[in-house]
Amino acid sequence: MQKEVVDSMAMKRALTRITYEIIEQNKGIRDVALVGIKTRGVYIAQRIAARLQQLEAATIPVGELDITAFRDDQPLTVAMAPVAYQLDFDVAGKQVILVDDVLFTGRTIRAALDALMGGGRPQSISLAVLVDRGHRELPIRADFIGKNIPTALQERIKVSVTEVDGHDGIEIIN
Amino acid sequence: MNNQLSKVLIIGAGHNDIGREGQHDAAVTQIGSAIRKLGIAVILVDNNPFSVAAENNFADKVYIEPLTVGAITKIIQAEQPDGLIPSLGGIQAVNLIQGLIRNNVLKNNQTRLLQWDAALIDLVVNPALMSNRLKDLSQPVIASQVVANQAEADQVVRTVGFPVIVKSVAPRIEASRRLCEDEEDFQRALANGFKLSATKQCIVEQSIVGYKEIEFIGVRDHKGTALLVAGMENFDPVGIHSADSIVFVPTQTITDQEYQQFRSATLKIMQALHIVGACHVQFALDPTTQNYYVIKVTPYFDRAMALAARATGYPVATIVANLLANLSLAEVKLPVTYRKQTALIEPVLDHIVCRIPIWPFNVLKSVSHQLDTVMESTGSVIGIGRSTEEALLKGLRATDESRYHVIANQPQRYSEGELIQRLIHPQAGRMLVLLEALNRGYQIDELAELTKIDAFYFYKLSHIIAIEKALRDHPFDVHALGRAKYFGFTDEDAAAAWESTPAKVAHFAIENEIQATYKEVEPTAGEFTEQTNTYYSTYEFDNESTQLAGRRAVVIGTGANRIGTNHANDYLVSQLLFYLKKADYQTILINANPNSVAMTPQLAAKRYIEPKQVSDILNVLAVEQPEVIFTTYHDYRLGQQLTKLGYQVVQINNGLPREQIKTNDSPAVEVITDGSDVAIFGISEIIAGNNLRSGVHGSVAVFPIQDKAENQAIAALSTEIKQRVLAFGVPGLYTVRLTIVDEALHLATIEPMSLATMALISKASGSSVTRLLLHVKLGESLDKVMYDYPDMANLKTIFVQANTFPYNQLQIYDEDEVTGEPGHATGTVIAHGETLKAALVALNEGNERTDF
Amino acid sequence: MADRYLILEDGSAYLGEGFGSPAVSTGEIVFNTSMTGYQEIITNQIYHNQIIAFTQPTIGSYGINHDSYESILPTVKGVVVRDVASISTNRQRRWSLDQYLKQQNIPGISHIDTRHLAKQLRASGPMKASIVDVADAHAFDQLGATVLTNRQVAAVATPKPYPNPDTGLNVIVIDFGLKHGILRELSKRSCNVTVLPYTATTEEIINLDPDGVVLSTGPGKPQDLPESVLTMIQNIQNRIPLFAIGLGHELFAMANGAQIMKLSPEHHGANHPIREVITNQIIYASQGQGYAVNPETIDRNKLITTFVDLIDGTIQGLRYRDFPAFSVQFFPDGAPGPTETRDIFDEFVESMQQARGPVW
Repeated sequence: MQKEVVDSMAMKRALTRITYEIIEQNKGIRDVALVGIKTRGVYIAQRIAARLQQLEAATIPVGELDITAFRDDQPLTVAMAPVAYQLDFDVAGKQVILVDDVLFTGRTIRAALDALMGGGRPQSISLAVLVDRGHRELPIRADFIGKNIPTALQERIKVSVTEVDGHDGIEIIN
Repeated sequence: MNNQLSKVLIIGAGHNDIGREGQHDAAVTQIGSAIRKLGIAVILVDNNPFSVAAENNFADKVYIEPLTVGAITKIIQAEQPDGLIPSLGGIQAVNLIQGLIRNNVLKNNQTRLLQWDAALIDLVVNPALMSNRLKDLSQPVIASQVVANQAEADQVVRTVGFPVIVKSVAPRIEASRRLCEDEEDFQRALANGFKLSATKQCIVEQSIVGYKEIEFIGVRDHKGTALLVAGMENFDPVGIHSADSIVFVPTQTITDQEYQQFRSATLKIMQALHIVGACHVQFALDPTTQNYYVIKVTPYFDRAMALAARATGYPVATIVANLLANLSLAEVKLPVTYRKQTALIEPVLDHIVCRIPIWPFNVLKSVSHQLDTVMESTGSVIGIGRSTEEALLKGLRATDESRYHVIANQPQRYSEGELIQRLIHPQAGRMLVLLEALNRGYQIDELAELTKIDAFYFYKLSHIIAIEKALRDHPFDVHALGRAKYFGFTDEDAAAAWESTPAKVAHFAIENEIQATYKEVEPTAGEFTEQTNTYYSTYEFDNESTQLAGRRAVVIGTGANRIGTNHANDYLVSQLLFYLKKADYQTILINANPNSVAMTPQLAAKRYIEPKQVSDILNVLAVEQPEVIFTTYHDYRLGQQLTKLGYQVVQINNGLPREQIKTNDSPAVEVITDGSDVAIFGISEIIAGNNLRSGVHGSVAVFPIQDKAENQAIAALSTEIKQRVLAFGVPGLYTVRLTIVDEALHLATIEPMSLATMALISKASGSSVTRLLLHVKLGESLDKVMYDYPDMANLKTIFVQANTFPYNQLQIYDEDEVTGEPGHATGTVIAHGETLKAALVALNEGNERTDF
Repeated sequence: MADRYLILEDGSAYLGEGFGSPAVSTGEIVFNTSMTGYQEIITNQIYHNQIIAFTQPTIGSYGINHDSYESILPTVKGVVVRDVASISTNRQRRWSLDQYLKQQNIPGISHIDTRHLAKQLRASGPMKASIVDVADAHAFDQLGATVLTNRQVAAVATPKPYPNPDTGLNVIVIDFGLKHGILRELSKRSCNVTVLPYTATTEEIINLDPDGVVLSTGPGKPQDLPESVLTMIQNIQNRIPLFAIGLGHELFAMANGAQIMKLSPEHHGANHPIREVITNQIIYASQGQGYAVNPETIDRNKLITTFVDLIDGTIQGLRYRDFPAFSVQFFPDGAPGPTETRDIFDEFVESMQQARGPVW
């Protein structure tokens, strides 16, 4: 069974609020860089970047990380593939904001952190997620949260973005 | 994706019909020319000889071809357009596009479907799919289910409750919907429904009869910016087809909460369906609970969009043209007379528009006058005013019916029982019945209960009765007249009430400074300066319309679209406006038909949306003082009246009698004269309709006839023809009918050329004969006028034309009434071919189910 | 109905017919272009001491409804219309507009060329006007001599705190003459609301331990309010999520150094396109605005412009850079008007939740 818990309007609003909070917490957007975790995190990062540009008339670098093999909903036995890393900017000295659609066990984020640290020394790394569904297995927490959606372990959260899925929304599947 | 467009294809709406007046052609005319202004070439295909868009360079290239998937496929292959516009040809065009998509025609030719996702096509043609989609969007839709037995049917009723509507699935004979109020009704309807159904099934549908019917129109661009153009309210409740209902713009009786609920739903639906352009959404509102249902979503041009555009002054068509060329509402380019952001300003009105349906019953006598869910009106007119009363009275007046349709001071002969029956089961012209009931002292709440019409309107009707009574009781009283005029009465009304003449009343009014003032129809309620050059009259303090500068010509438009040749008349009016402008006249149109092509903003320099009553026209003439006035076919008497008052009037109709020609396969010579010389266009012929297919009621006109022998015979008669035509002494277009006596041709009768023939010759020659008519009527000589007319002898293609009739739609099967005379026509189709046979085949194509 | 006159301070007079109360009254006249919602507009306290002219020609067609009040005691000085619907009362329509205005001692005048009046006011800006029985020199003298009060907020805002209990977030609404739509939207989101007078001090607010504070709509010129209001805003905005609306928005801007200017022509309607800067989306909202934040006086290191009116570029929304404090000039609750802006209340609720931290 699928149930839409966040519609496109609410999703849009969550992204807007995350953007404002980024400005609030970073005291501006100088040195801010966004890194989206593939697939949907990248589109979410791009939307946040577009919002920042609208407000501040400045271009924000957006990078992509592909850590499919580390996805929390994959069995742990899946072979650890190398992390694909597509950043056309240097993370050194940047206030990097990692962006993902769903925060669950925290393992994806740990992998992403490893990958990022390997590429240079950012001034800071923070984490923005559209959905925090709980059930963390690592000491990781998000700095910017679109929606806190309490879930049961066996449930799944499906984030849809227009670019991939044709529409925006968040659904619970059980 | 490459969004650059350089060439687009428009599928026209085909022949006019019930439910299809000029609104589609008007949209094509405006959208076509707006797209061309953006540097995009327009290809148009249509088979309507009275299409204004298909003449006068409104499109870069016009195909007069059957509206079939095959014919359009060939056009797409030949033209390779980048885009196809789906929203201008009504539901028929949507069906054609579905065929084109299925056959991969669009894909194979890299033609993009503009405005819509391909998936929307399926939703538009299949109401059940649309209904499911709306459900997904959490929009309430009417519950409807197919059942195969009583138990299943009962199950449905247990969830939705009575009343329900029972329909037979795939009935073997024409079966109607049955409204069931209780179990007894229900069982009877089901038994009958199962019996009639080929599949032994019925549809049980929740009934919303008696709900308020509300219609909202929105526009949306590809970026998702959307706004509401207009909200309108049907005076008549659900159960009467909305086209047969009296409609008010803006909504009159719904609260802001209800209004905003419909506004949000309209914009949400457009957003979810990704519609670029305009969309019409119909709702049913339960007046006691505020619950509503979405009844229908129409993303293509229809009468409601035309009404919204005319009522608000918001340039819907021009804006949609910009949107489909991928501009956003913020980027829309409008003529300089509009404020820059007009496309983005949500229209607000400071006037009220009332639309009144027009019936075919004066011609088709055997049709039931009962109003129900099947559309019967042939058209509509609007009245604009500054109060509900004024809008209603002006709308009623614009129907050109007798004034007793407006004011019920005539006692009716209905018995009490009859009256109540008519209140509950409404018939056409019900306004009289409502007024009669009020006159007999029925209470307003009681009437609202019986008719399901909001009590608000009965207060307004009571007010009209009170004003009329005050008028009658106070002959030549300034206050009574001033008040009556303020609420929409005229000199004629006062003259009748006072047993005087309109001229005397007019004189009295002017002496007492009771004068019509004009206000602009514009979309910002006076908040901004907008110039739409469209005005309506009222009786207030401030007048906004001043005389146009330059040589002014007033053209009196067709008004109500009646059954018969009226649709052709609208074509003539549009053509006159077009060529008068070319001849450096400042054109002024008086018309109250919202669907009329002539209302296209670029056709006239100025428009007055007014009824065609003499006093209304005189008020306009007093402001504009035109050099010349044009009347068209149906207004010969009006023209005579104006001539008597000293105005210079050009009557397109010469007042000569015209015979109703039945099919006799005899030729006719089509000519033009300036009064001193005569030129022959060519030979036409009327052939029996059953050359086409059996069951054809009307006849088929053919032009040109290139028969050598016949041409020679006519050449021999040419001197006689010229003499006979010149004997009339009136410049114009004439048809000279010939008969065959002893195997030789002889002159029979001479009559003014019909509008149908004018359109036929214009389309066949590719050159407008209306232009020629206009210039000879203005007193120019033939040699000056005919300079660029093509030589008919070189025309190799044969054109054929036939009328279409509404007999099926109106369920007329009476042999005596199904005559196929032009007076019954609601539309006309045209086709061509290398041979007569090929032309007739083409005429039939795509029209197999059309009533010829 | 009796002949009455609408007279304007520029010397013009309109003959009309009186309805509602037969009182003579004077106020500032403004025109409103909304298509629906006359009851909400008449009862909105932002129109305190003003005369409202409706451009929509027929007013009163559905009477007065119990769920469309924006305040309990309307204080407009007059209602000017082309046509007032003379409906009587029945089970659905408790009162007609005429009856209601009589009860509330508000005069109305109908049969006015409101289109001409709107065009006149568009050119002149708001003027003093009176609804009178005789339009003689005496009446114009009286009108000229009338000084309109500048203590509108004190006249309409609650003098005492009152609760609107629910089980959710604890929200304080500072009342400058609030419209009920604000309470309605907070109620829908289960907020436990306490309404405080506009004179509430920082301490009084903090002592109630709110999750968020709303600065309400209200009438008049923001500069007419005491300096202490600005101090209160400065003290709470960095401690508690803040949402300011209408007059509250103007005060929030002033508290952060911006200046307020008189707006001409004013905005009274719901037809203007408004751009949400962050998404570049165009929305429509209910507006009732005689003043605006002067864009040139905004300290961009402090405030971000979030909404802009595309007709005249006026600022329609602001946000503090460093903490969740934001404001809108328009009425996000609609009532009357578009409802697409209601999600700003959701944004406020989310800001409060975010400030509280996750629930597990």
